[in-house]
Formats: sequence, structure tokens, C-alpha cells
Amino acid sequence: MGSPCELLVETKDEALALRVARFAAHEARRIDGKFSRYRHDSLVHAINSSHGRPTSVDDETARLIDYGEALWKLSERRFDLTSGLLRQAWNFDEGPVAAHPKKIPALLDHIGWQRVTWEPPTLTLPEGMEIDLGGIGKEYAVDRVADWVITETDEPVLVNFGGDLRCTGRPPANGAWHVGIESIELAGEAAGRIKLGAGALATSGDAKRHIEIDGVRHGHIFDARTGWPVRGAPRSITVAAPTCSQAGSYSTLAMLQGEGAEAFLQSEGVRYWLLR
Amino acid sequence: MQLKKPIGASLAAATCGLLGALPAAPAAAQEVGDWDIDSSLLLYGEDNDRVKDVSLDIAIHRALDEDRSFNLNFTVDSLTGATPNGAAPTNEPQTFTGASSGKSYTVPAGEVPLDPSFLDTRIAGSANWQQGFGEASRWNVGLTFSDEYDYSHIGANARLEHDFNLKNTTVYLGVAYGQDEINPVGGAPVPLTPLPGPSDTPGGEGEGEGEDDGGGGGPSQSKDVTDLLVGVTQILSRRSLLELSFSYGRSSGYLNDPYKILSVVDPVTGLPAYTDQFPGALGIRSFLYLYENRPDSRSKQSAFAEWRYAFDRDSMAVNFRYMTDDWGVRSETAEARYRWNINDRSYLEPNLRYYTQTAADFYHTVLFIDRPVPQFASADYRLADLDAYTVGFKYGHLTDRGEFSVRLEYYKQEGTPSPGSAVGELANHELILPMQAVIAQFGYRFKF
Amino acid sequence: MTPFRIALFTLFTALTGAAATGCTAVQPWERDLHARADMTPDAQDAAIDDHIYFSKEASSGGRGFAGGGCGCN
Repeated sequence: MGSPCELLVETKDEALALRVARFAAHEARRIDGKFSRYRHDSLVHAINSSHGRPTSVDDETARLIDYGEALWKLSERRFDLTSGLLRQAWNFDEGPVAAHPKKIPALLDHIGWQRVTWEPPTLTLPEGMEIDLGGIGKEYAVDRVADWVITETDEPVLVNFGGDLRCTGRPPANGAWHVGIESIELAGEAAGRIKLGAGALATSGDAKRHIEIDGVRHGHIFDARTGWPVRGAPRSITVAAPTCSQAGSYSTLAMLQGEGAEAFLQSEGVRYWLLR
Repeated sequence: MQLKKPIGASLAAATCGLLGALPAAPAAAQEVGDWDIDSSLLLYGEDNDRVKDVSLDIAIHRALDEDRSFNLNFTVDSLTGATPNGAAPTNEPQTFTGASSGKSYTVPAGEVPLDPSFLDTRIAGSANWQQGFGEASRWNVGLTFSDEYDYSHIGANARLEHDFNLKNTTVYLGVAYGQDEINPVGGAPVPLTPLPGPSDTPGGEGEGEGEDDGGGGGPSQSKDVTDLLVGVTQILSRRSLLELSFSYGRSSGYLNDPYKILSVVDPVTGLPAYTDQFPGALGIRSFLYLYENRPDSRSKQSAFAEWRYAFDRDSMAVNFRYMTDDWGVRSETAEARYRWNINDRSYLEPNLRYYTQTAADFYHTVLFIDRPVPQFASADYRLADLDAYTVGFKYGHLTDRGEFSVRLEYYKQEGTPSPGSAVGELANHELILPMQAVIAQFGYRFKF
Repeated sequence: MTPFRIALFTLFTALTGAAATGCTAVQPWERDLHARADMTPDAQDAAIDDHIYFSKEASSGGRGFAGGGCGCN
């Protein structure tokens, strides 16, 4: 998952807490392993090495691909499961980016969901293209764990995978989960806090990393249509929604709107916090 | 470049496809308010047309971050009603000049004299800044002030706290200094001199016009107060903790109550003596009352302990305070409260308080004409031997926006006159009026 | 020494003794109950009470805060 994952369970039942924690850890590892781009035994690696041959995927992968396709349509192609190749043009490590903008047109030839043949359960990925489910996988994992926890217990539980989180059951004893988020600017270094009584929070953007191109600050969320970072993107957006997947999608799609992020979120009527 | 229409419904449908189902309830998320406001309306009323007070208090707390916060407090209160002036009842009506108004009032025979002209509006405020430093320490500094037409106060305080032992133990040290200015109406009277008779000009010295905006006539008086506090809070177990503290306070300057007097009576009949029996008294012959006099310094020490215990749902606390001072007053206070958390949103907290004090060395319910006037003497019932108890409860209810609370308390106080006071006529009267008061407090606390 | 005083001093001493000897440190995760709001006394109520009793009795403060003043005692 690339980030610390934790579970908070408010209960006197130690056995329940262990059971829930074990499931969460197991599920996080399973999803990470199955959809990791790096692991040679992962399904995504198999797809990315298919050299244009049709691949049959299982039900869970099919649902995730459907979801990625839906986001591609809803974002008017800005979000694209095949846009991972852009990392070759942009340096994501610390420090200002050394970009290779000349590589972008060539990369764009291998980016675009419209080039993919998706007839569930068969996916045909042309040679030279790759898919990356990292943009939706973490939120999906949170929702999977949360949906299972709901069937197990009504006690207050918070599933938090690296800042994408969702709570289930009754609110905790003090009324709500207090979550610190960086999308609220306060005096000094401290994060602002949100009281979460129900639902999920997801955050897009990274206030600590940015790309500077000709002195202009850009975020590191890329518009798949152009291959370039979104101009005028906020530093950080946090959205509240019933599920973590929805919250993550809203925050990603809002990022992709750049200057129009606030207008987008307001017209969607979701609760959000945004830092520019 | 905007998206053309809201995507919420389509996104929800897509998510439903991904997860199989969606939660029915919407998300509930809101910023934690940065400002904590506690407001309180207090209504206080004593029996026998004695003191009534209405007071409004606002406390504001703002945490800037984990380490830094500030507190602001503002109170306004309005006091009316009668208060004992220190004289003793007798078998004839007695006439006095009102402390606050300069007008005279007459007390019927057989009644403990109460000065009905008590009228005062007071404002008070404080500001405190708290800052953490190091791993587990905090300092706090603050200013206080209060103002009423015949009294004003300014002060500063500072406090240091340190946690250790996995934050199970906290030690603290506090110091406060205050400078008060007293401007009695008509000027501060010369202590242990007779109260002028009703037909004489009111006031011990000066013009005696009794200005509305504060004491007139004599120079203002002042006093300063220093307090030191040291304490420790120790978590004893998962359920209980103990707090112990020791404090030392010293006040010096004008400590008299300028409006309080003592009756001087005949040691056999218990009837009031006359002004012409007092050497150097001027004016028309009337009953003899002397202005009180207290020492010009007072140092007191107290020890305090509180034990708090948490049950699974409820909690309770008991505390005890022992105080002694160099005026001869020793007091013990014990309190107990039990918090019944009825459910997640409401609670009921009954409480009890018991208080007892011994009289100050110079407390005299009456003075006797055949004895020399003591160096210090006061008949202020608050310096007498007294016992008091309070019984009450607090009810609180939490709503989405804040917490409402109501407190109702009943206070009963009984004083014992100085031994040997009830001579002659005085044996037929209650020399110290017992006091009962009802306290109602309405509170609302919210984040903003 | 009245019986009342004896009883209270005994309680005081017993608790002090308990505090001194029975202190194994309570771990942070065992302090859930102490975090409950009702385990911290209400500061505003305490200040109001202190002011009322200060004006009706000869004792003041001693409970945990120093300072403040008024013309009522």
C-alpha cells in the first residue's frame, strides 16, 4: 500500500479486536499483492506482460477495471488507468523535478483507455501499454475491510490506510473520530482536525511535493490527455463521502479540475476541505 | 474546463457496482471548532431579603495547536439586597446611615440589622496564555482585573506544570499577585470610632456627598495579595487519581470592611450603650456603634486533596481542604459529587458540601462598654464560628451543537455568636441570622 | 480533634499512602477512563463556586488556582 495501515477498534472484546485486525491486515496484503505493479506474481504484472494478448480476469479485478473505466468517463478522460507510463517523463522523487518533456508525445501513444479492448471478463491491452490500479486500490481495500467489519460488529471501528479512512458501527464514546488532516491550514505546523461521525475521508494531493516548471508550481496529479501535471491544482483536497472509494474519486476528480476544483466540489454538494 | 453536469449519481452507481452495496447513511464530518465557549447565567438569592445576585460569565478557550492556547474570561454581575452591618439586635428600633447610598435606614426592634442599600455592579475579566515547552512541561501566564464602584483589582499570575512517569504524575507551581484599590463611599472611616448618628453628616471624614461613581471623600485605600500554590496530580490506577496541593497566601494593606460596625452594649443589660459614654464622641446622643478594625496583614495556608474515581459508566469525586490563618480562623471543607451518566447525551450530578470554620481571634459579636476597646474587632458574621452545608445537583444534556446544563443548589449557613455575647436583652434575640440561599445556574457550552 | 476531623485526616493520609506506595505506572492505553470528560472537574463551575463561597465565608481558594479579587470579603 506504500503507507502505514491501522485499525482503531473501541471495544472491551479483545478477541473481536484481534479478529478484525487480522482480517484487515490479511486483506490489505492480499489486495496489495494482487494488484501491485512491481510484484512478479501479481495479476497486474501478468496483464502488463501480456504483449497485446487477451487476458481473462477474475470478478474482483473486473469490478475494479469497470470502476476505473467509469472514472475515465466521468473525468472526461483526465483520469486513466493506463496513464502510469507518465512516470518515465517525470521524476517523482524528492526535490524539484527533472522532467523529460520531450518523452511525453511518445508516451502518449501508449496511453489512453480508448485503445484498450475491455469486454468483461477479457481485457486486451495493446503492446507497450500498462494499467495501474494504484489510484483506486487503497480506497477499495478500505471499503472491503469496512464492509466486512460491518457484518462482524456494531462497535466503533476506524479503518485507516495511509490517510484514506472509513469508520463503521456506532460513533465512538466521545461522539466522533478526531482526524487530523493537512487540508486545513492552521497557524503553525499543526494539522486541522475533523470530527468524523460516519462515513469516509480520502485525501488527494501531497502538500509536501510539487513540481516546478519554469517557476510555476504544479501538483503531481497528471492529466492523462496531455501528459502534463494539472495546472492550478490545489495542494491538498480532503473529501467526506459514504464510502472511501467515493471520497477518493471525488478528491482525485476535483484535483484534475485544477483551478476549477472548488466549483466542482461545490456543484457536487460534497463536504470538502481544500488547501491551495 | 468544467465538467458539464454533476457526477454524484453516476459515481454512486459505479461504486455500488464495485462494492456490491452502498451505506444508507451519508457521511458525517465537520471541522472541530477552534473556539470553545462556556457561558453561564447565575441567579443567587438569600432569604430575608438579603443578597441577590445575577451574574453572567463567558469563558472562551482557543487552542492554536497542541502546545499553545489561550483563555479569556469575562464576568458581569449585579448585586442587590441587604446584608448584616455587624450591629446586634435590641428591643428598640435602630437607625443607621446606609453604606452605599448615604441614606439612613431604620431596623425594627428585635431584628438583626441589615443594611438594605447594597447595590453593586461588578465587571471582571481575565486572560491567560498557555504554552508547552520541552517534552512534557507547560507554562501559563495571565492577567486579571475587576472593577466595581468602590473596589478595583488588577493582578497577574503564572504557573508551571511538568508531567513525568509516563504522564501519570503532574507537578505544578503557581504564583499570583494582586493589587486592589478600595474607595469606600464617604471615604474609609477611622477604625474603632463611633458611627455618626442619623442626624449627623454621613461619613467618617471628607465631604460626605456620597458620589454615585465611587467612594468620595477620603484617600483611597489599597491592599496587595500574594498567593503561592504547589501541587501534584497522580494517577493511582486505571480508575482513580489523587490531587494534592498546598497553598500559601498573604494579604496586606487595608483589610477592613469599611461598612461594617460593632454594637457596644452594657455588660449586664445587654442594651446598647450611648455615644456620650465613648470618650471623644461628638454629636447628638445616640446608640454607640464602632467601625470595625482588622489587622493590616493576613497570612493563610491551606492543604487540599481531591480523589476522583471512574466507574464503568459513572464517576465520583471527594475533596477536602483544611485552612488556617494568622487571624485565628481554621476551616475545613469537604465536598462530594457523584456523576451519573444517564446515557451518552445526558448526566445528573448530585453534590454535597460541608464547611465549618472557627472564629477569628478578633471576632466579637458585640463589644462591652466596660472593657477597653480591643486593638482589632469585627462583628462581620463571615468571621464568626460557622457551619454551612450545600446540597445540590447539576443536570446536563448534550445536543449536536453544544451542551446545556442547569445547576440547582441550596446553601444553609449557621453562625455561633462569640461566647458570652448573649447577656441580658441579647439573650432574647438571635444574634447571628442564619442564612439560606438558593443558587440556580444555567449554562451553555459550545464549539465555534 | 473532632471525630469528623479524625476521619478526614485518616482518609487524607490513607490516600497519600496509597499514592506513594501503590504507584505502578499506568500505561497510556489503560487511561481510557481518565480521558472521559467527567473525570476533569468543570473549571467554570469551580470558579463560580469559589467566588460565592469566598464572599460568604472566611476561606478562599486553596483548590488549585491562585489570584482574583473582589470587594466582597
